[in-house]
Amino acid sequence: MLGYLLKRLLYLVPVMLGVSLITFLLINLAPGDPAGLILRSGGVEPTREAVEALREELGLNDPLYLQYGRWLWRVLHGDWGRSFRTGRPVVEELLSRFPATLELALAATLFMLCLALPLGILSALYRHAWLDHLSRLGALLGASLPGFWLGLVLIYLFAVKLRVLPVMGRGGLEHLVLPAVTLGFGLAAVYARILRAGMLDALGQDYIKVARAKGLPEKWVIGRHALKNALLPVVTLLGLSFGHLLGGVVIVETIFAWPGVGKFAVDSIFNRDYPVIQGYALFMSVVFVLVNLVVDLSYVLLDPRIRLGKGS
Amino acid sequence: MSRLEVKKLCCHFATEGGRIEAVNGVSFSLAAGEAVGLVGESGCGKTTLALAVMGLLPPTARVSGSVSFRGKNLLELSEAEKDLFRWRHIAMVFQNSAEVLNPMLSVGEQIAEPLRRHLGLGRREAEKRSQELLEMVGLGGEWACRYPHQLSGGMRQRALLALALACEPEILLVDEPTSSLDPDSREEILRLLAELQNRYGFSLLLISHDLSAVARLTSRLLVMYAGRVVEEGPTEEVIARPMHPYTRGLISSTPHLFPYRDLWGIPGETPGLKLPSGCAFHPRCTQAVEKCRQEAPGLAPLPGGRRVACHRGGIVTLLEAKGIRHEYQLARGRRL
Repeated sequence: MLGYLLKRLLYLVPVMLGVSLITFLLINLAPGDPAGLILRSGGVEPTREAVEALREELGLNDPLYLQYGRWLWRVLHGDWGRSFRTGRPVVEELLSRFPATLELALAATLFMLCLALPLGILSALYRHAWLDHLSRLGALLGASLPGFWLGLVLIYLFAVKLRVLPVMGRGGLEHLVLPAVTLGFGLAAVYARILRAGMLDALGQDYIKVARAKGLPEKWVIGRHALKNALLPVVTLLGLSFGHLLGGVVIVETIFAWPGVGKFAVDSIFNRDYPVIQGYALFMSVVFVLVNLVVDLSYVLLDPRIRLGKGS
Repeated sequence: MSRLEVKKLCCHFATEGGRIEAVNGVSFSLAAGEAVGLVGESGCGKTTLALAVMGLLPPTARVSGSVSFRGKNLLELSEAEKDLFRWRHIAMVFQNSAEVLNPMLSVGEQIAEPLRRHLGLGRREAEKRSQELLEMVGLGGEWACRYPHQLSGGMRQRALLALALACEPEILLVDEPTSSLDPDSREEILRLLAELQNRYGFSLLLISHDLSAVARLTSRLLVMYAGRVVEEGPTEEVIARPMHPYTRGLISSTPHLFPYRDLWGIPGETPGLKLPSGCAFHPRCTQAVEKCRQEAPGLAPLPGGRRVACHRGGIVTLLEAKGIRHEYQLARGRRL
């Protein structure tokens, strides 16, 4: 078990190297000059000499392999560089925004589960009944309504018309509701359908017939026997979407002026803030690998077939 | 005094392709401690019959007739009332398959469930009892904390037996206990089943297409074809002198019972969902007459407690030959 864990963590090294290299190449392929953008941010068109001087200072005139090597060397020594825009260390910038993103990701996942679990279970139990059709419609809507549209409609309804929730910004629990619902609704649509399929598959198995034959109450049959099996595919996907949410959800963070990493990363891309983009990519690759590691570990805990192997 | 009395049990399924008659007017009884065999090819309605007795058919099934146990018709009970009977009084050993036990729960947990539900045992007691049950079927108590995927087919069959006997039911329905087992495991399971019946005295309905297994364990035999019982009688006699052409076909396709003679089998194929008119067996029967095509025969009593459903009163003897010898001369040095 410990060996497995170490192997998985070691696996992070090539992933991080690959991700950082690809990111580095991509941002250098994209047009736009950070030096020019930085100087222009004052509102005055800079002189050619000023741009050239700043390029030299930032090391942008060096060959690419030298730039990448220098960046890598610093990162290995714990220095992720400073943002071109704000001048603050990249690590500080990312870590200060990460709690907001984590908070939103957790809230959205929680809301999604509260909606998807009962809906998925009930639409499997009452297959082809009105609830099932309703959930199918909900899934269609949830999957096809764009987040920005839903976010704006929710803001209009609950913040502007009813005035029960704040329009934007981060603060207490009430600030969390609208962005979490916007994000969670789209996810819940997909998860409810996945859980429904898993439940239907489990309910058709022989062991459900045996459980019923044992005279067990229906809620045991559903909860203990069917749901446990049906949740496995949900857990796998949960890792993927949670990793995605931790990367920050740009559109929702922008609409609700949520100070998370996603919005920050996109702003940095527009401003060609190379150190931040590099740092963000590196940070996200670590988050993704770790989240997937947690999912795999939870699988081991959940499924005895994986925990114990065959014939052990 | 019979413990279980099944009368005119019919199970129909309404499908888009029409009505499927899986079980059609089956009647039989199980006395205390009696072992009855139910044989027939796959798809003849054996398992449907067992599930109907347990009240486990899907809601799409139309079940009529009666299943009497302790003076109550089980078919008329509500689901909640059925739950009190199931497993407590009538238990079933389901057909062995990889998915018959829940892969997410340990073997012990699955045996403990009915103990806690019906006998009101606490967690500890149920755990201890399930270990004892596993020991009783020849799996060690340590298997209680193992999971289904760690069991071999033979071990799973034992675990299923332990599970079914958890509440010491009066009636045990056993579905295909020897299917998908190797000869050694098959032998052990049959021995175990006989031993357990001796010890607990439950009434046994043994459902199988393995005639020789049924012959070893049961005293009475029901032969089913296309949802109907076509022959009934004491097991030994039915096997020694079958009255229905179908029974004869079944016996002559069982090498264990028919060791030195040629395997004849039964011509034709098992009927699909659409049954032939009249006697469902007539297209495959060697002695069918016009009446067989038009009318389904009822089970008619014969002397010796036997019954057969055949318009011709069972197998008709046209020619009897005795003492014929058949010798083969093997040419020396040649292989057969």
